[in-house]
Amino acid sequence: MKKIWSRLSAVQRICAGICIFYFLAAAFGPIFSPFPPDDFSSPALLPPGRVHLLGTDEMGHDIFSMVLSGFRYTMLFSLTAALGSVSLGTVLAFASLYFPRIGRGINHLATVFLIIPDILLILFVAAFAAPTCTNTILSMIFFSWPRVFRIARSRLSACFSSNKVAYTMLIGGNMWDVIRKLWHDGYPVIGTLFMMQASRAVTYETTLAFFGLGDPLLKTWGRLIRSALNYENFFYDNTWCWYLLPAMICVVVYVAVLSVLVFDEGKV
Amino acid sequence: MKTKKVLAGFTAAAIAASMITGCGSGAKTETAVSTEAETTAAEEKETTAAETAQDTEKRKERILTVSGNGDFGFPSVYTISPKGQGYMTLSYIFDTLMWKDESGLIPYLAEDYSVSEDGLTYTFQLRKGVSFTDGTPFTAEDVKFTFDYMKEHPYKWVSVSMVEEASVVDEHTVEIKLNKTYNPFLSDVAGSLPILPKHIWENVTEPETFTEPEAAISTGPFILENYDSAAGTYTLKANEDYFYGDVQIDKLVIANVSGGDSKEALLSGEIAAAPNISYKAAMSLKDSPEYTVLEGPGLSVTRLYFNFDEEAMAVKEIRQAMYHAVNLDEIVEKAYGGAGYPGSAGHVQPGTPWYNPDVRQYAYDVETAKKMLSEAGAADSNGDGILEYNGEEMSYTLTFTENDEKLAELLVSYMKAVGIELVPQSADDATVKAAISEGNFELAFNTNGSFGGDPVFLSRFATVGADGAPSVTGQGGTTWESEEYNRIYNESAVEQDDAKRHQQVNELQEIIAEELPCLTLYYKKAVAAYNNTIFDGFYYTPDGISIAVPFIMNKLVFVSGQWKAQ
Amino acid sequence: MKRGGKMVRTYGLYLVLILCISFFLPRFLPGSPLSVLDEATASQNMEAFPDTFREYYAPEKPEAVQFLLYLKHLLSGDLGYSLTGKRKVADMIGESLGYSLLLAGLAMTVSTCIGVWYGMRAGLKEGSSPVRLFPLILLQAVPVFLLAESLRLLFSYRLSWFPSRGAYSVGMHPSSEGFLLDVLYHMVLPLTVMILSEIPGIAVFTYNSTVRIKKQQFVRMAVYLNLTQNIIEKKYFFRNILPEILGKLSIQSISCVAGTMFVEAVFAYPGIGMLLRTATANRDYPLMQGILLTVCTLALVINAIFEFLIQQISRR
Repeated sequence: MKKIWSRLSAVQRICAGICIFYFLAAAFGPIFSPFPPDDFSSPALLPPGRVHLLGTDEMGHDIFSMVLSGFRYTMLFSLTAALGSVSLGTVLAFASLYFPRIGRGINHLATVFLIIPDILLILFVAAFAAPTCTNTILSMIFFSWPRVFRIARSRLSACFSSNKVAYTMLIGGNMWDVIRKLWHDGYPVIGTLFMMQASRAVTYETTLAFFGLGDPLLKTWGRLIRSALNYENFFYDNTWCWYLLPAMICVVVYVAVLSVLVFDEGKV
Repeated sequence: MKTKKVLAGFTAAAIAASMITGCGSGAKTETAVSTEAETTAAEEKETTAAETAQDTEKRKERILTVSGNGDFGFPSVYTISPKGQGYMTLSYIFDTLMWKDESGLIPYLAEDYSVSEDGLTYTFQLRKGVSFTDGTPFTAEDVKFTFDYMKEHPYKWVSVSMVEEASVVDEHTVEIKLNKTYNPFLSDVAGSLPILPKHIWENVTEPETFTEPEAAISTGPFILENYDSAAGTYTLKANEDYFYGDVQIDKLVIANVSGGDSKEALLSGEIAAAPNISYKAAMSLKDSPEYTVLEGPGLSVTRLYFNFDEEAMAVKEIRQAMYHAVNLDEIVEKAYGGAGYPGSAGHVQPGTPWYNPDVRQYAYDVETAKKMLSEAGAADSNGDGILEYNGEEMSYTLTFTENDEKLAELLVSYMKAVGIELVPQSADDATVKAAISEGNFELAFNTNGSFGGDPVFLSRFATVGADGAPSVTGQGGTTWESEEYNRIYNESAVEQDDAKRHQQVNELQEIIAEELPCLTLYYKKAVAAYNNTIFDGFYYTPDGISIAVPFIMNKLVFVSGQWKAQ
Repeated sequence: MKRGGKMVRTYGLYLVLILCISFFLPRFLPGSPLSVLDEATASQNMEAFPDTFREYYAPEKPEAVQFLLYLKHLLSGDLGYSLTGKRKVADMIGESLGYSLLLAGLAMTVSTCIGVWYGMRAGLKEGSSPVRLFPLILLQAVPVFLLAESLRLLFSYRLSWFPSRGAYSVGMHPSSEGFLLDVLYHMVLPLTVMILSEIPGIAVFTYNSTVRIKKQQFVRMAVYLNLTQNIIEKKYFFRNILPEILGKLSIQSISCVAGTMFVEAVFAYPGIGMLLRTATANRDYPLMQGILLTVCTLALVINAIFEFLIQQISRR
């Protein structure tokens, strides 16, 4: 852990700190939430005040509470989708290298999926499948593994041809020995991939919500943004300042921060 | 550098190609009508130019642009969307035997009519001297042909199944014989059926794909000039020889401006009337002198459907308790921003002619709801907050259209407060409607329009028709049934005496309010805004145009209104 | 020549894969009327669909026959009938594709020029630190539709500098005078949004490529310092990073097409994005499938073109 921290630049440390803050907000945020996010007993469309720090929406939900609950959903989406797609992609990358014959087939499949805009496929699936949280996450995993696959494979193939691994395979070591040897060199890539996928998952969720797909009753940031954009007077008064901006800032900061953490100068 | 040149050339070619396709594809969408119209317009321009050379007054073309919801099909009878705006646009081109204005039902293409004593034969005296816009005179042959053709090719908006036979008495008299008494015949059938010109349609075997320019020729106040399907724009030219009166504008353009954008388009002058404007946007224009905001009954109802397969749902007291648990006023305020009215237990909307003010209503009362539920036998035996009835947990899926999530959230919360769990399940509107009509749901709510005018819509709760055959209700699966309701309804459908019918309809409402086959939640308000400095005279036709279409642009407006702009 | 043959074979395989995906996806999605997983409900839902739908998809026939039928339809350019528009899907897509290509093509060109220039300049600067890239990273983090709505709010509604919707004013059509100018005027905002959303990706990538070469060529740099450098440097760097940039552009073009669709949905611009939005809202299966297939094929073609270019350039 300490080694990782020391490798980060100053800016990246700030970003890592922000990430940790998001995580904590997801874990403990709802404790500080003045209202349950689905409580609509307050008057509608109040401007920010002492009771409602960010005002209320058209139904009377406290916007601040909804933003707070958004941390949880965002973490849920991004972590599970990232976990799923990174696992799937890495396993497939490893399999494609260990069993070179099917490897080419998987590679071609991955290339096709990389050529097609994945958001389109996710949209397609979300439109037809039942609008639940699980389906959304599953479709994200299913359509974003190729990216992970590609990067993992190129990194792992460098490791594969390294002496350590070649030696292991030469002396007849089985699959698990190879994995152990690879892990030592490979895990930084996994970390990078994880963060990359986590940020993509949030962008996907926001885009899906914009199109009206996904679970309509879940108070995610994507839904909040969509409600804010659909607000009838969105273009004519200043409600967007406290209705749209908070959720928008949360999403943008999260994605940006993860991008900065993943950014490696000179590495293409 | 060669590579740079290659790249540059490539990108330039790409831009050029895309620009050509971009502009080209825009032009491709015009139908043949426009070229015809342009040549005739060019001819007209020549003659008008000659005239204006003599005239001292030079009149600028009066073009009225209004907002519409995009492409809803080619404006002919079988190809346009049968719903509200589609029908309205169709009515600008096609006329009907009867029509409605501010005062009510008026004779239109039919100058006069008479009904036989038994209510089975309608005789229409048609107006003389009316012709289609291609010059052919309009006669009784066309009316007879229309009824015959629609029997063979059913028209989605209006059914003519009750018509036995249509016959020509003479060139301007037509006799329609029905196979059973049908009270709304004049308003719903004679007042809605577009008359097809026989000489054009007699050889058309596939009306759903008939999109030739002749498909849009009839007697109406407007002629189709251009239909741009990609942009969703309809351009209509005034019919200068319109039989009903002078059309007060020269051109009507229905442009694709959605409800969310129509306020801005109105303010910027892009459109002169916004019939699809959203409620809050319209309210914000109320105080401006140059904009008039009209409000009217939305003629649509939102109700909660029960699947009577569920044991608990089949118990009247449980349904009544659920109604008590719903805060109808909060629904109007929170889910719809005040753009409507709370539902009435008797289903018919308050303020309409057939409403019975004495029906039982269910005030919002959570305690009473809880009490009724426990009296009916529902109890929470395992302390999880959800009631059980006859051993089964009262947890049901709530099927709804995805845009209605606000109402869904409210209902989930109301039911939770009394111990019933609703699991929300959203889908697109078509799927929800299909699920309801097949009975594939436990609880569902949905909105449907055409809710006004003659109370024939109360047939939705009658399960058996007068002939003993099961009648088609909008809901599939196991529905509520009542012999008494069926009996009274079938009597009222053929009752000629107005006072007696009123009493029957009152009784029906009482039964509905007591039995609650569905929970009537909400009636939508219709709202529109227009720029009164360009054109004035729009109104909401009482009870809606045709079968309860709430629209400010009744085609008569274009004859009775005034063009204000210079 | 051999390489060309291999490329053709590979892309042929990709095309087949895309066709398979386009065919099988609706059949394996629960809730789709063509679903093979839940045939009972599917065939029930089928009742509501018009004859044109059933004729096109022929669900009662075995899968293999359906697939061949599908291919046959595609070869004749038949993508089925739209449920909402009641016209041929191919026609609807054909009318809208031009506008999307226009927007995406222009956006891609302009953002490439600006992105590559900015990335290289930033990369070549002495003691370059990635801090100057952070505004770009922040910009890239904003979902494109949010960027579109924000610009729309500011420039259309608050400042009224540009129109807020459509490709041309109400009532105009290609034969009206001033049409081209009107189209350009309406294109400014959507194009700006697209350019802003594409520049960061390209610029950051170019920066990284430049820095990588710079690091490798550190020794050489010392030599170059004596000459009047900039143009020579840039030419040198540019030539070296070009293949990588092209690779990145290939992927970026695809995401540009996807981004264009969202921008169109916001600005009611009559391209494929608008079609997709209405198709999604109404579950217009044939139209959605047609759009999916069209965009995927388009992506394949773009990718092939770029790969060809890269091959040509790398060969020198």
